[in-house]
Amino acid sequence: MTGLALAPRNTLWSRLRRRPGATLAMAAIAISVLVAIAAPLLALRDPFSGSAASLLPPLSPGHPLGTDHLGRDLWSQLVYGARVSLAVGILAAASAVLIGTAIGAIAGYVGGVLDNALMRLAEFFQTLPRFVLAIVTIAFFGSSVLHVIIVIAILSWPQTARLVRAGVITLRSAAFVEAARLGGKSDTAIVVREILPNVIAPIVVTGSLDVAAAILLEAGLGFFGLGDPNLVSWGGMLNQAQQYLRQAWWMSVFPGLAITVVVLAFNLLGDALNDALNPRLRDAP
Amino acid sequence: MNASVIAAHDLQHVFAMRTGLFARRPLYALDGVSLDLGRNETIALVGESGSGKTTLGRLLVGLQTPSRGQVTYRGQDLAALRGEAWRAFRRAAQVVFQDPAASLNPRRSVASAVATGLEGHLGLRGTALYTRVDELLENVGMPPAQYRDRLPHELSGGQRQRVAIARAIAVDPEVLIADEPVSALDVSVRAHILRLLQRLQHERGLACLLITHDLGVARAIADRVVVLYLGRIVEQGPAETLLDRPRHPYTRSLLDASPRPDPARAREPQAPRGEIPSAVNRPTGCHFHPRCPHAVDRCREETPNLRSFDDGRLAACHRAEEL
Amino acid sequence: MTEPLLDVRDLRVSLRRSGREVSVVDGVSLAIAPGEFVGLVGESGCGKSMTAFGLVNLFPTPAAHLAGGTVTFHGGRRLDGLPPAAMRRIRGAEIGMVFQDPNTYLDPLLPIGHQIAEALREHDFAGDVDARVLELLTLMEIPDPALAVRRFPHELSGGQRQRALIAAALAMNPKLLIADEPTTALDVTIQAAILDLLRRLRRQLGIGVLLITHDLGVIAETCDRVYVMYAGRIVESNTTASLFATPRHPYSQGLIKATLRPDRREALFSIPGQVPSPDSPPAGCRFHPRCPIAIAKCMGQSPELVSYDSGSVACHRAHDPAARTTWSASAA
Repeated sequence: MTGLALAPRNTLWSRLRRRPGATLAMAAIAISVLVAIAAPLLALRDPFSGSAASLLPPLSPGHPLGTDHLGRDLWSQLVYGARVSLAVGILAAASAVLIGTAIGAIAGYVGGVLDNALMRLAEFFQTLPRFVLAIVTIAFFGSSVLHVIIVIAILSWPQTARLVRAGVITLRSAAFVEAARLGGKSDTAIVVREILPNVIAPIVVTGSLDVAAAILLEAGLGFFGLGDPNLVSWGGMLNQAQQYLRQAWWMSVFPGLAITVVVLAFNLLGDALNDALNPRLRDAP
Repeated sequence: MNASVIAAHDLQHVFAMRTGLFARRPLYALDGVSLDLGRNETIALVGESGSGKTTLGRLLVGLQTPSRGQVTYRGQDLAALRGEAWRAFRRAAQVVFQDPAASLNPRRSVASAVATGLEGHLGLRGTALYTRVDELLENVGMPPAQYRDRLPHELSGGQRQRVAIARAIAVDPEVLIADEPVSALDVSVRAHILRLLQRLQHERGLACLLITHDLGVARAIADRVVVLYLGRIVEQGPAETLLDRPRHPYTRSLLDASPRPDPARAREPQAPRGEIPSAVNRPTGCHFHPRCPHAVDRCREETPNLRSFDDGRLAACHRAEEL
Repeated sequence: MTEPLLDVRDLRVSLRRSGREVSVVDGVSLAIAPGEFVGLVGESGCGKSMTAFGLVNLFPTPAAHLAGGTVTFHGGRRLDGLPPAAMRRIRGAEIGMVFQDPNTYLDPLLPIGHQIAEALREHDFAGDVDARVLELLTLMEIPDPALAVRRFPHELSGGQRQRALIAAALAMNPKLLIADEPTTALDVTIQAAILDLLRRLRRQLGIGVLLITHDLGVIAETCDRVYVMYAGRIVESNTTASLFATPRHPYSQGLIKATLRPDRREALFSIPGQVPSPDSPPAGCRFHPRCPIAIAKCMGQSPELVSYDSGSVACHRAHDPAARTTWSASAA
């Protein structure tokens, strides 16, 4: 066929940049991460300190987004809440990806009985109702950010594991893997250095979708009052806003908007990565 | 000829082939194949797809274990090799795979491909490793400064195959199995690669097994030719005499079917009849009889043995003398 | 000369890449007479397949498109610029096409008889479709045609799948068959059988055939006439016998010399260098960087295709006696 040379620079970055959705999503994520890091600088006052000025509407002097029923500044709560939401989302997703990649790679490469056992385990975790299990665990072990992260990670790894396993199975008999075997490489080196770099695409994609799912799950727990009581979180803010829906729309709208934007951004990024990493679509205009 | 470096003794390789929902039948990929490959020798293994060529190559380097029979390396049974001895063999027998695009990791550079065995077998690191990689690239005609950091997709087919060859010879093997090393390449590049293989073989005294379906390639660089049909050797012998005067009708039909750049050649259009049957349903007697223009009743009933002839050839045909 | 079945003049095909137009077929002219077996040969990347796609204005990628030239088919009809619907009627009905990998073009979930019948129905075949399918499979020498009709592609061998595909291409009795590397994926024995089949079909049905291949051996065994293509241009054409006897262009000479033959042991020969990328074709004669007899003129001026005897050649030095044996001196 026509052996055309590749376009000069066709990196993942340049392919992502070509998708407007992806650029927007990356910008939104970058801004929320910056906000979370710079929370102490951006917050106007202590998010916990109440005042007599309760239920002030947005654009009140000194309270750009208004205050809640205890007179706490909503803007400051939102800024500190970004820390919890993003930390939970990213750490939980990262743990899920690590666990899933390790288990999937072992199952796919070793095969046989071990593969069967690990995949049944994955199915077990996948069939559990996520939210119910999260509630039960928090109720048992107490509510802390760490527990939330662990629960979400344990519930999310099977998806990554399945994808990695499928990729490893197709590649373990690839000619370049056999060449590495003939080259005296150990099984670990073969999996880590030859096979995994070629299945990174689905891992990255599910990883970013996992972040979105984790943020949503954390917000859900917070909404039901199961969040860490010592921290401000967007879910927790929503929980308190419930009773004031009629009097103070701003108490629910701002955290709700924050969750929507960040979750949407990670989902968009996941979709864009999926397209950009898919070699079949790579050269599409 | 030298003593054999690697040899196959009565190899049989059987797969369980799924033929229905629950039914499984044995598929004889190889059946009673013996072969020995000496230092400084190139054997071309030829036959149609499904003849067992690739399986034989894989068994010889220990990528698969035969169902019966043994492969010996310097007289030792591969199945008995353990630990250091096994690692020594792994290093001694290297492969150049058919599709150069598939045999290179798409995400790893030319240098890291060539470094594979140097790290794995020789434990080279750092400067020693880089120097050796550069030497090898130079040796296969790829200026290291220009190609070291390229990824496989930035190379042409011929260049990829050079990298694959550099990787295979990096660990100073004694045996090189080249599985269709040029079939994915353009005619004008083929000779480059074949000449490279030839030169390396002479320089290092390699024992070389060239798997190919192209008799032109076999003619160009092989000392001996082994013809495989449905898992059995039907003929083997020195390349010149075998390809000039084939004794087995199958070898003849392969020759007749091979195109050559000669419009004046009068080809017998009926030469090869039908297609190679599945190894699940091997014909009785001589496996080739349903396609053979000279088959007699005996060919249908009795499996011909591989017999030796005075010109140094072996052929498995009841009628080899008459024809 | 009788009126050609297909007359292509100055065909150009471009690829749109990173906002730039890259020319992959650069002014190809060729003609096929009714019932003639014509070969198009060259290395990969020289534009053979793109030429074939250009003839029927059907490209595998949306980035490729016709950029000029005329294609005149049987009865003086212009194919370039034909609206897609009209082109579809001609494609498949009057021009059949066969490609390298039968698996890509056969639906694994449908019996092959069904797929051939589909080709007939698509073009409103007037007669008995089932009878025609059976007739075609018999013509293709597929064993037990009555049973083969109900077979799925995976139940057939590679050779039989290619035969089924040729049957579908010939279903509507086309006047021209374009075959792009139809035997490259097959064993030599199957290849020989398919080439026999093509030769016989040409004789029996009187169809013109354009065979695209990189293998000069295949050309020698089948074609009446050959076009040699290099870097998007035709560099030489001639009758097969004359081309192999006295190739004029250094590239043709090199290709012939590089072809390995099973009946003779010859020194291994290869043309130095490689086909240039269409992104940056060399100036002047596109072959000059690889040509051992290139002179200053070759670097500056692109040679025209000039007719002589039975053929034509695009080489500034074609009439120089030294150019008859371009590669003899270089052992390269």
